[in-house]
Amino acid sequence: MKPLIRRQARVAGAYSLLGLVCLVGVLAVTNRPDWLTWVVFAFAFVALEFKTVEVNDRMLQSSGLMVLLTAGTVFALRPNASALFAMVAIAALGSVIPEDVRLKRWFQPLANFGQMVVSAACAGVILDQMLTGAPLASPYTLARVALAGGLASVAYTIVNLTMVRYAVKYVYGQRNLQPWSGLHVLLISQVTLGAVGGLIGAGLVIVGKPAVAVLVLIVYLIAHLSFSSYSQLREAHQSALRGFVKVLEARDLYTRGHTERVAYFSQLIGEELRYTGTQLERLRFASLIHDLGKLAIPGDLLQKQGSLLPEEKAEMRQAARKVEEILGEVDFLRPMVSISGVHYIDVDTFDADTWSLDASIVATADAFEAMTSTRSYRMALSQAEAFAELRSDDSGRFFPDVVNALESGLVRTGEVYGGSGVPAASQATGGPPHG
Amino acid sequence: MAERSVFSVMSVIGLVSAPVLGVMAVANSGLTWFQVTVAVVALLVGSMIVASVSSGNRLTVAIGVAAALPFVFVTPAGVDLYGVAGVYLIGSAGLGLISLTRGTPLLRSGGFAGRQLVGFVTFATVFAIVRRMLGTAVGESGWEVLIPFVTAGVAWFFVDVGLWAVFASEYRRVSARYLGLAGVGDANVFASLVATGALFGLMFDALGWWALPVSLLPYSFAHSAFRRFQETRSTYKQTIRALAHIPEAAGLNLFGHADRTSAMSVAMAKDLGLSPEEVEDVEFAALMHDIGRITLNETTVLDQGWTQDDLARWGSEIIAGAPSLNRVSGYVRRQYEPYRKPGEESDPTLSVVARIVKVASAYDAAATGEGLSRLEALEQLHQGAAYEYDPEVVASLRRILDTDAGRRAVSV
Repeated sequence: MKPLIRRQARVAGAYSLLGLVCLVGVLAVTNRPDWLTWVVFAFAFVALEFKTVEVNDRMLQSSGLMVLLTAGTVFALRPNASALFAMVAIAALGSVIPEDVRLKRWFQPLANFGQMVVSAACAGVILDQMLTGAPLASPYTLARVALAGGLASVAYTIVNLTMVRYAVKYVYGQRNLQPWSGLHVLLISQVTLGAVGGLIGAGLVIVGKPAVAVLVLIVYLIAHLSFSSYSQLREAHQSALRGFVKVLEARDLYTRGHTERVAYFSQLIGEELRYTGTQLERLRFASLIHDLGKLAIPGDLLQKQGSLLPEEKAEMRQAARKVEEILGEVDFLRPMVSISGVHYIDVDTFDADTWSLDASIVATADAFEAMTSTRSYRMALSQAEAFAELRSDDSGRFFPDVVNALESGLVRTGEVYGGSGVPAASQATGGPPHG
Repeated sequence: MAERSVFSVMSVIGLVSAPVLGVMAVANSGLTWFQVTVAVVALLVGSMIVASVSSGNRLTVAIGVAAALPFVFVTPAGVDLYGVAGVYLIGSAGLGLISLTRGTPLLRSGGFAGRQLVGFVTFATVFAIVRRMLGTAVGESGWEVLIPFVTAGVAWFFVDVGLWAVFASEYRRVSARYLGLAGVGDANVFASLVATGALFGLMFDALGWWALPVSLLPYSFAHSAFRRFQETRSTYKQTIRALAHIPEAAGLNLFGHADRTSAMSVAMAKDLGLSPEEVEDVEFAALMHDIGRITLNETTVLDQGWTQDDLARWGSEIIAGAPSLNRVSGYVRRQYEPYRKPGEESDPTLSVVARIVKVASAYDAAATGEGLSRLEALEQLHQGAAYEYDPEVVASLRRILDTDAGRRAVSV
């Protein structure tokens, strides 16, 4: 058995066993729910889990969690019912998604089963403790529900993330933890979601009309579908840009893959500097387009070996300026357009006042990539040499914090770039592990 | 013009008489003036919160407020129609006045207020009628509310979109079919607003004002989803536009050609009644139809020479790099082809999108590139119509350029 599969098997076994124990234990100690209501919620939950939406880099699966909490609140408030059983049983159903079946994955469903059942159990206990026997007519009950929902949601999130984090670390090593670097942002949204989910549940129980549930479901489904079409559109936008860059880079053998690697390094720096999902996304776009300036440059100039004549330099700079103007047309990139001219900026034309942290990140990533890969006019520098050059540059383009972040990011991921005994060709075709 | 002033006078009469009628209706209802004031204020405040939609129709939270009223204002006999109608009359006059103070012309403000009122009344009336028809047939199970609500909501939506498409096509020089289809595309936004209103109405009795956050929070997710979607859509367009400008910045194409071709193509597509999806394809294909000129930067290409076919192929290859723009890539591949070869029928596989882009691009090349006047440029297209250019598309361009509004729409 391969080591990776052995590690996966251990985690999957331990987690699913934990989940199973939890499920059986809960089954033994709690009352059965009203099955009709339970089935409706379970159906909604599974449907939402099947169509998981990535709202941005942070907000995954939130829709399902809200339905889970609504169900929990409904059962906690009803006499002779318990949130614990309802939630654990619903969560168990949501652990296999069609993606897993299609890709014949066994590790994810098993690990998910454990994570979701245990997290749901923690949330269920909180709801039961805080809400069982709460007087429905009291005006304080709704405030109590909101509080309980928020707390249960936080508990679910923390338990779930901790288990996922541990599993990823154990199975894959350090990498790939990016979606969980901004936990505080996630928690705020989870508290809100939990409180809303709880209040909707209370609304259902207190009003006592199924029509309320139908209407909530309609609005929620529309929101969900809109988020998913938003997410698709965003994906289309990104892949369009990536596609263009790829086609256009094909013109120049030596810089092929350059943009993807710059985007990867920028992302690495952004993560080290604790950027949020939206900021990281902006950085990714900026680094994808940073090099489009060269399209406006005559091909012979671009591929010329050796240094450029003064008039050729002027031509390059002029082309870069025009492209900066064009990129300024894209609203959210406007603050960063100076990045696109990064290649053509001489120390004397560099304006420190308009230079932002984002610009410095992309410029640093770009310079590092250029130095550590082989170009038409020189062999790759080693990683240490590249960092030494970045630090000795006194133009102010490469902020020390940014350079440090890149270095610690590479230490974290254990990657080495540049020509220190590694053939440069493998660097050019290998690309980043993910990005 | 006489017709216009008649409509303006009618708008004034409508905006003044609606609140008077509203007050009379309320006096006949079981509502207190406090309730009426709260409802009208909610309606007006709601109208400030605009949901993002693609079509350009104005959908606001006021729709949700209006939808809540038949649920909140009830008498033992059913919906308090006098009270609800009174609030609608006063409220829609208020919406018209707000629109006026924002600088919208009188005629359009009056039209807007009237359209809102007709929509509101359609909803309340259908709701009340269907509810009475159902009677006790379905008991208190919840269907007695949901069935009338869904029927009334659907009726309201189609009335609103229909009226909007007819009104807006008047002053925009766009086919009502295009606007109607675009408006129907907002069904999700409309449904979420109406459902939120109904949700509030159903819970208000039991929860009091707690019903407000509970009903608004699910909607707020939807609202932010709509906003993000539209923001991404506009960023996407900006990115495509920016890319389309690169050959121009590099001096490889007529400056501004992509923008002008795109504005004209979109105007023609809307005039010809294409669907919103096709109009978007037209916009992208027109913007990028000359993207292949980027390649003219390369020495080897310049040495060997190139044809229109090469340009179209390079362009479509670049666009094909983006999987989501597959269709657009196909249109760009064929946009230079003649409408019909001598002695043959027109090629049915040549999309109208490609035919539109060809006409727009040729007109701009003549008008801007060769410096011809509007009539001279159109004349050149007319000479080529039937073989080089699709005569229907050329006729559409003439229709657009013959009116002030049309010329404004295509000038960039």
